[in-house]
Amino acid sequence: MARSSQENPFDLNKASDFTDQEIAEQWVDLANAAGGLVEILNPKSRMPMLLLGGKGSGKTHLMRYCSAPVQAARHDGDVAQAAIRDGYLGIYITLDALNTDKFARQEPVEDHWSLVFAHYFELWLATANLATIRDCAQSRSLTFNESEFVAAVVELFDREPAVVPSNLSELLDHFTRTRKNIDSIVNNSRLRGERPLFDITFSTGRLAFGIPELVSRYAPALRDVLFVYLIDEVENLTEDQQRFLNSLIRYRRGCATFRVGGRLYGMKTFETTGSGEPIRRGAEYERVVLDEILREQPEQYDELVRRLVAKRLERVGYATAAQRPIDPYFEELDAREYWRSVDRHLPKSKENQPTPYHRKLAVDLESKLGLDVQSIATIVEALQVPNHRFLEKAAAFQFRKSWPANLDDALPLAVQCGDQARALAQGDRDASGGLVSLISHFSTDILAQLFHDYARRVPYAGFKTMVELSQGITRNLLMNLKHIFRRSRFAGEEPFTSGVISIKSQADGVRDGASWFWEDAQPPSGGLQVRDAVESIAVLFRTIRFSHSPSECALCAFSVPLELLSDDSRRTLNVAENWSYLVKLQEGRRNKNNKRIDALYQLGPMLAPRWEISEHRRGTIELQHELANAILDPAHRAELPYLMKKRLARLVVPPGTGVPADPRLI
Amino acid sequence: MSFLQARACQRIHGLSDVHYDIEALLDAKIELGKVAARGHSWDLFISAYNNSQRVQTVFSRVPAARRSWWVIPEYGYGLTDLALLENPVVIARGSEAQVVKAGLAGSRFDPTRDQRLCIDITGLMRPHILFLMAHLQDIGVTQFDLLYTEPAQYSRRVETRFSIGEDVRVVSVEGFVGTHDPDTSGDLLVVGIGYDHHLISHAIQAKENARVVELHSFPSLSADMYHESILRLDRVSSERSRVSDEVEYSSANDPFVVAAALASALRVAATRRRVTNIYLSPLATKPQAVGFGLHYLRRMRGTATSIIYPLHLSYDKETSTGVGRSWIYPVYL
Repeated sequence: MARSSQENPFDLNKASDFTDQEIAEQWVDLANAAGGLVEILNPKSRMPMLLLGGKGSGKTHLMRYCSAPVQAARHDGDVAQAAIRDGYLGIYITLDALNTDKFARQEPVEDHWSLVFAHYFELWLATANLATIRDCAQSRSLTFNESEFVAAVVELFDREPAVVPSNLSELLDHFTRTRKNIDSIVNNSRLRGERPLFDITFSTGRLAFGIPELVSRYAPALRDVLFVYLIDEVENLTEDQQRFLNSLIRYRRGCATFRVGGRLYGMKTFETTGSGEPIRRGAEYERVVLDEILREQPEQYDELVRRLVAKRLERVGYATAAQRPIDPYFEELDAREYWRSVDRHLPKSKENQPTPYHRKLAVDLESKLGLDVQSIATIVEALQVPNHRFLEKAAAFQFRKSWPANLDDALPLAVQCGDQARALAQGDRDASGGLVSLISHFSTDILAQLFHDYARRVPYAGFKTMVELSQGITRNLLMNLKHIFRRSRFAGEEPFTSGVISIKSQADGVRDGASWFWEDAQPPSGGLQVRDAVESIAVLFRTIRFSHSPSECALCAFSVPLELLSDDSRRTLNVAENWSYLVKLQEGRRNKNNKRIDALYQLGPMLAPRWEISEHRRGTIELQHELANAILDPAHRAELPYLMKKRLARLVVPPGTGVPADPRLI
Repeated sequence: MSFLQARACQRIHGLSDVHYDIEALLDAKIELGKVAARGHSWDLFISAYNNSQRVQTVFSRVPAARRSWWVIPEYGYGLTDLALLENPVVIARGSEAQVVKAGLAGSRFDPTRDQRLCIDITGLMRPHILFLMAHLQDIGVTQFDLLYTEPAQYSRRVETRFSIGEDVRVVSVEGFVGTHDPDTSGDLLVVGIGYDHHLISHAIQAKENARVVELHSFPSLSADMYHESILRLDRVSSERSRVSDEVEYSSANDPFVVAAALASALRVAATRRRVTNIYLSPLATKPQAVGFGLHYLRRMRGTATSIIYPLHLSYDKETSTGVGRSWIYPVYL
């Protein structure tokens, strides 16, 4: 039912904000891929899987969609029938509720705490599993020999309980009592500094794998159903605790398997307990990075988020907007005739006053080439394009790219650049020489510089831009749209009802989104180091973009020789990637000087508006290992100012006499 | 003086060992000056040393047979900083249990001899305060007094930052670990809203599946402090979900009012939606942490409730200016 149209359609952006029913109702899937997102999780496969991804990439949403309560919601509330039809039964477990720190307050963890955790963790899995089985057993359509099943589960224990449970509820109570008894012992142990002492009542794996086997035996209709433990937020486990989980993955058997969700580097180890031998990718588990898949299929992702947005709009009462294409609701810069209409987003030109970019050019011509006032005026006049500030700026940009050595070169160059721009303004592409090609490469940078020259914020507008900024992570898109909607309403607009969402509201909204991404979503450790590094990279990109002569167009990526970096530098890159500050691009980049393939990283597009850099990935620069270490490793930080200035010296100011040793970074 | 205050004073004079309920102590806090004026004295007074005037000046004013400074590791004092302190108990880095136990041992606390115990919580970390309460109760010390001195102002007002660095680990406070349930669909996080918005953000992120109840300190220690805490909270506004718009209010300097307000907030939350696991995170004043501890130890032990806290390695040695009122909180567990 439609809700109040005052409600922000994008307020809810986490899986935890939704009930099981809402997860089922609000679900959207990839349009063309057979099986869609569920096929990515592949819950019918016995092969365990690590489902990794950035914060907000939809891991929890996907795992919950495959969990028993949501399966039931998709099948008229009958969880048993849902399991039979789907071929699997999802037991969703979020590890944040396990409060694993109580078993591991200090590293290294003492052995007895590892044993307590292992026992407790399996009880936890078994309790969640049993609760789901109880829901299944309530299905009228299922024949289930409950008492024999319960007796068989009791047999899995090494020691019979004092009061033998006779039905599922009593069995579940027994599990819960056993678990709570351990909780109490753990709490008292922490309080008194004593070892936690209790009886180990079952062997490892007996409950996690034994109970699903018994279900197959005592509920024949479920014999082909795979029991999938959907374990979310694996980063909450310590290294030692993950070893135990890895052992369960290695020794899984029968009709039970695992899907483990977590951040990109949520897995701290692949070793198992005992020998420590790691689990083998491909043979013992699969690894899937959800946002990477979505980034690799931009068309699929675009389609997915459009339907997601339509669902959100419909949910709060914007039924008309939900049924229409979304793009027209977002104002965009009009690119026709080389952004001729950009004028209306800039301050009015004052007659007889030079534009800011011509003023800066005049200063550089005087200081670098020593030109006199008259010569400078002639050059600036030659570069003028009446009533078309984008092309006028483009002419100045082109002039700077071919910076002259002296006055003799300067005037013809200015005439050539100006002529080409004026021809283009008249629609004469044939006479526009190399300018068309230059604009095709650098158009977004020329626009950014133009706005920057007038002290205006660089615009980020249009729904496609919003999709691009979200970097394959749906929560990022929803967060930006939430802020844009709020800004739009505050500006007196009527988003999704009448008119469009202005460029300003969009630009303000994405800046709010970037601020959230940067300020709120901080890594729990090493945050300062990582943020310093990311900020340095962003400042480098920004400085190049707004420089005298940018070396790369739409710069937002860098390549780096990982093997030459310090351990701390590599760790910084990992944490930055883990928190989606950086996106690692799988293709890498071939080093210009040798055949080595360097690692390639893009600055998280969500952060692009914060430093007004490009959200489109076109330009890449190579970071030599000295500069990369200075950026990424605090031990080398002192070298950063020198190396950064050295890297930028030729870009920031034009060549000529009096090149400052310390060009000011933007 | 009210009847309840009189009853509390009886306790301070060591005349009663009756177990009072929290609500019965709503008006039980007493200004230190009034206690001292009546000639009351404690057997042992403990305080955690830091550079704040409100910690240092109160230490000598408290009437006690023995006084003991704890130098806790979070402030990072070197031995040269402590030259003027008499027999300080310098405590090595460790968990709250290790710090508090080492402190009590260093102060030669003997429950049979030091029956009238007073601890200044002004310079202690919140996990220390909480563990101290749980530990004393566990060893049978069910009556003791806590002292807290208000600041005149926080030193950098709205920009005051208490914790240093960005490395944070959200943990369950030892002695406050609940018996939790795998069903997390109705998890609840009650956050005591304070100045450290980074800590609020970390607590909310650590329990990102939980719906959030904000417990604001209102009235605050002084009128401007409420506004300043709201400004800080706004910085994590994006992390707060729309459905977590439950806001409750309680005192900033009265732990008994906090305990009652917390109980009320939990009752109200349970009437709005089913509650599975509960997490309490007292991130406002230290009296608020005491209030959370009181409520937990009296009412929540053995339930699916834990007190969680975002641990920092280091804290600023001086975050306030001036000395406000000093309060004695008589604690019965």
